[in-house]
Amino acid sequence: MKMKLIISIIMITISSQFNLAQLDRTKIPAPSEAPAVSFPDYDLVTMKNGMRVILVKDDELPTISISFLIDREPQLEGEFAGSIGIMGQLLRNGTKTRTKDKLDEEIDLIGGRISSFSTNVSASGLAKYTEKLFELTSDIILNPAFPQDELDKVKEQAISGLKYRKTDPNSIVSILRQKVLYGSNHPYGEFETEESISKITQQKCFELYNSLFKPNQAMIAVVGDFDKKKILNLLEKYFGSWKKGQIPEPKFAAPQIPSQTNVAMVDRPSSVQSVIRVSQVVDLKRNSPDVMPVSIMNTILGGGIFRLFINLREKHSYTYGAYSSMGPDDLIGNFTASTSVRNEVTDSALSQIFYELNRIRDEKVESKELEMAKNYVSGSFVQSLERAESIADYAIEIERYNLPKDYYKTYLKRIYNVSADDVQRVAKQYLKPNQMTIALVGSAAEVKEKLAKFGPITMYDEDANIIVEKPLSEIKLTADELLAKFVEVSGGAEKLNSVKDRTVELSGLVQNINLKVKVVNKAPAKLYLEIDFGGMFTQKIGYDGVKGWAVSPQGTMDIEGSNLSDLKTQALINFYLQYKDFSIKANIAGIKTIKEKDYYEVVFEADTTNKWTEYFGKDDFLKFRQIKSAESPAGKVEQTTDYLDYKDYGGILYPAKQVQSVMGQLIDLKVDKLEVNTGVDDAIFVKPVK
Amino acid sequence: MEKRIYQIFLFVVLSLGTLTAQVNIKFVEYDLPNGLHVILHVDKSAPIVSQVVTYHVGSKNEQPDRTGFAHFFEHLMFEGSPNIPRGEFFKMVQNAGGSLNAFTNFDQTTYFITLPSNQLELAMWMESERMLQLKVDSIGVETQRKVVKEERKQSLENRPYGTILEKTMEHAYKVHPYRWTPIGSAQYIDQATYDEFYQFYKTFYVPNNACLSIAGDIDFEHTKELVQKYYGDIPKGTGEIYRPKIVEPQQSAEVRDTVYDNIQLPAVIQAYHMPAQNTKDYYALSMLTTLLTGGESSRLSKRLVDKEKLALVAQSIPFNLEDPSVFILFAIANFGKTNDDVEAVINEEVEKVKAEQISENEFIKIRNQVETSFIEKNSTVQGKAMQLGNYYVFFNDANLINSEIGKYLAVTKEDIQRVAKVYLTKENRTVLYYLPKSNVQ
Repeated sequence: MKMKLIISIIMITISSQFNLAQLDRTKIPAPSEAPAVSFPDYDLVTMKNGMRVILVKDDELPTISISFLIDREPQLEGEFAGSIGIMGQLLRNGTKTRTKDKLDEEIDLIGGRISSFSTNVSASGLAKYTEKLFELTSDIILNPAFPQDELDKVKEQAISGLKYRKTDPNSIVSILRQKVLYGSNHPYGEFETEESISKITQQKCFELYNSLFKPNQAMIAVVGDFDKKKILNLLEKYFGSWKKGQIPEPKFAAPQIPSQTNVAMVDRPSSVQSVIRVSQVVDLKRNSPDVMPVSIMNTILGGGIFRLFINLREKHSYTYGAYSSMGPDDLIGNFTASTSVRNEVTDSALSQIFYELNRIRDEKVESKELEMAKNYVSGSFVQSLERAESIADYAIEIERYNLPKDYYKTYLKRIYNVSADDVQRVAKQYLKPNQMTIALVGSAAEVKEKLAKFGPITMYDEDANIIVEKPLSEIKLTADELLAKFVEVSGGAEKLNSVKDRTVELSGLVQNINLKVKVVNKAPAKLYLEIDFGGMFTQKIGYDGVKGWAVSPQGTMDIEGSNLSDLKTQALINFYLQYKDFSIKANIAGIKTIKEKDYYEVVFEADTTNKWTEYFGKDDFLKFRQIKSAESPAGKVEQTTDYLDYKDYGGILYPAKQVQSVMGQLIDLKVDKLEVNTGVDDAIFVKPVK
Repeated sequence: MEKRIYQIFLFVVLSLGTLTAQVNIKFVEYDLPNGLHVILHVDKSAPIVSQVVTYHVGSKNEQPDRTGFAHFFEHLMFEGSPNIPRGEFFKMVQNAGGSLNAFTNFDQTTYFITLPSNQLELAMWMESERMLQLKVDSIGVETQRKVVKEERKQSLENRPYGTILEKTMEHAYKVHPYRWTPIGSAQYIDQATYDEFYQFYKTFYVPNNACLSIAGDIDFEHTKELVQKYYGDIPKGTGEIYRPKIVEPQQSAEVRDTVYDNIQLPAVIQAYHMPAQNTKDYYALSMLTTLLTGGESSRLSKRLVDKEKLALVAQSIPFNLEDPSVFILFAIANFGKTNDDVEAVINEEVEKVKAEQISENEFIKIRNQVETSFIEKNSTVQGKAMQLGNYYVFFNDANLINSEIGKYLAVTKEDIQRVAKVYLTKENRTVLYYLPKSNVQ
């Protein structure tokens, strides 16, 4: 900042005459004298019960805001993953004297806002309603009721939220990154599931609340247009009687850093862009002297419009944006580079990210670029001082992590002191380009092959559970042998061949609609399918051995092309005895572990337009899953069917449960009835004539 | 040039026993001879300054076979000038410790630079350079063509529900240019030519089609001198500025369609035609959205999300634009619930507003809510500079930054009931059902 002073004095002399002279537009205007930047003072008061209070007065607008938090370390929640979040959310949903309806009314009536999550509560409103806001906020913090009906509702919403999460590539990639980086035995790698949410009870909420909410671990920041004395009186009135106590100290192991760069991928066939994170854990505590050099180094690499943005967007136009972040964390910090790029440049974009990671380690940064990064970081800091809320956030950080009291008063000076050598030193020390985790959500068919050069690829499902693939050397039989085994365990060829026709009735619930499905097969290859949508309308599909057809409320149509080929294969009454006769090829592609069980992956090919994949148990040979893609008006749609709960139907094993998943939407179907050899009339397979 | 200093009247509204909180933002405004409107506001709470230029051009000024052009052009505005080489625009601002960005919507394209207050002159030089003599080469155009297409993929195509606005406007409008959205079509982005860029720049990026607003740690007199120095010599535009006079005909029957998307939870959108933002009825409709979905006690949120658990989220948006726009109701169904269930409740609640006047208590509540959000709007210098520019460009009254609350508070209970009856009718709406792609089979 000091160096600019000299230039600015010259500038002032020139600027007083500028109206007379013709403007020289080729000259970049120099800055005038640097303004004094002062970090505003705040008040810190510790109440008798140990609650720490931070007061930042700002009377620019007639508003007030209150932020409350419990100063605690994150903890593992195990089978109750997500419980602290839900407990926290419920604070706002009912107190001992106010139902949620009453709270909603009282908060909205003053035009205020209060929200709670985990162990944080924030409130804001107009200054003229300060006392009411305190009354409501303290009631929410001190007297939660965790009403059963509210718990049920919040759990239901959380489960709906998980469904949404599975469709959003950005949500999928952040969970994937964290799970792979930290492991599920670390609080940062632990995520809620439908199962863990459904386990949360009212009692669990009270237990968590009672163990975590103690005033001696609590901090409250009040920001806005207020009178200090009045606020302290209000705090005493509304929080004074809260009693001290101890909170548990969580323990868990630090995450392991991988020995080489690896790729973690979730296949999302409909993706038009690959959503990419290149990430590693970083051991950098808040009080480390390296925090500032690391911040400057990361800025040069991927803050604002620096190297990653300039390279990936402005030079190569792979993306709309590319950034990186790297920050201290007393538990464990991380470095993450993020971008979204079109499918065809996915590998090139990754190569450029690694190029930049290596460059900042290998080459000393030039003084001009360093200067720019330092100016950018100091400018952002100065801009942030405009908001009183950020002053409160800085104050909380100082108090919470025991930083020196003048930490932010000396902030600009610390930026100024960072040298090019510092930047290179911390880049070498903290960035490990050979030990990165690449988390990626995208279309495997389009991008996976090109990713192998970055490191071993592991596939995950949308919840970031590993899909293990075993080496081919473990395969001890051919596809034909495997399918013969399946025939054998299903009841044997003789028994299956005795079936001349088969009628299966299934039912299930889809979006509150009762679905009824009837499937009729007749030897050798006739099919009739009837789907009833809650009595509202019926769809019929048939194949008479030659022609395929469909009848729906829109009319009757012929089925042709790849859909007809698919129908033909479905029509085979005993597919696994007949497939060779119909020149359908089967090949084993590998062994995969799904939910801790091994399966053979078999790829079937009827013709070039009709290929699909099935999974058979490595030990029981039963068919477990089929993955098919179908043409639909909305483009190619992938459809997964799981065959569960095999039951004996007169000597033949058949799955009593089928779960279909299409673009993440689940359809549960149960077999209600299965009959064989009832003498089905050929007429039903023929296209109806109007 | 004549300068006018607004005397800010203490705008006192006796609101139900309590005094309405005051907003008192003082500013100076005047025109340069070349037609550039200038608004200056001093706020010394931090040593920073924000400069905003609002051009009165958006996607509605585009031709139907060049949708997305205005937004594409916004990207080109960062390419430089004879004195600012390609790739340097961002760097210069960052090097000065500042931040910058821009956005394009249906009616406007707005550029903002915020930096430490001693760098104001740099911001003025840069912004005036690209207003006077933008320079774009072929590398820049071809790069940004691809970048804009990636932006479209990232924000629309690869995001669940990302196409909602595009689909809604496309269905709700038949002739007015609001029928396409600012991101436009990738196909037309490919077709845009250099000659068209030049014409667009000469037509719309002229001082007489812009408003310069500066807020922050500044000195009035000195800033005025700098404005004259950097913007004074930019020639006034001489061409005619195309402002579509296209009037969307009154809708006579409900439009209804289904969109299949990569989603799991169905969503329903209703869009009712409503008047432009500069009208009395707009304020009444805006109060109506607060009644329906403002806060957790609001009617639709309470029923759909809280009580009947049909929806994960419910929102209503009075989509405020310069020309008559749409009043949007939007809800995402909970898992296992259908759009029909959700829409039935929305319709019931809309009918209820028409049938019964709202209670005094509810009326007080929505007035307080509107007041809080009005006051909270002006917490940063960048926000204030942008608001001042908007109010001038679209309302010809920058002082609305202080007084607009009065327009909301002038709305009566009768007004709310009346606008519901007039605008929220079946034949005046478009209804879209978003369904998971799995449902198409």
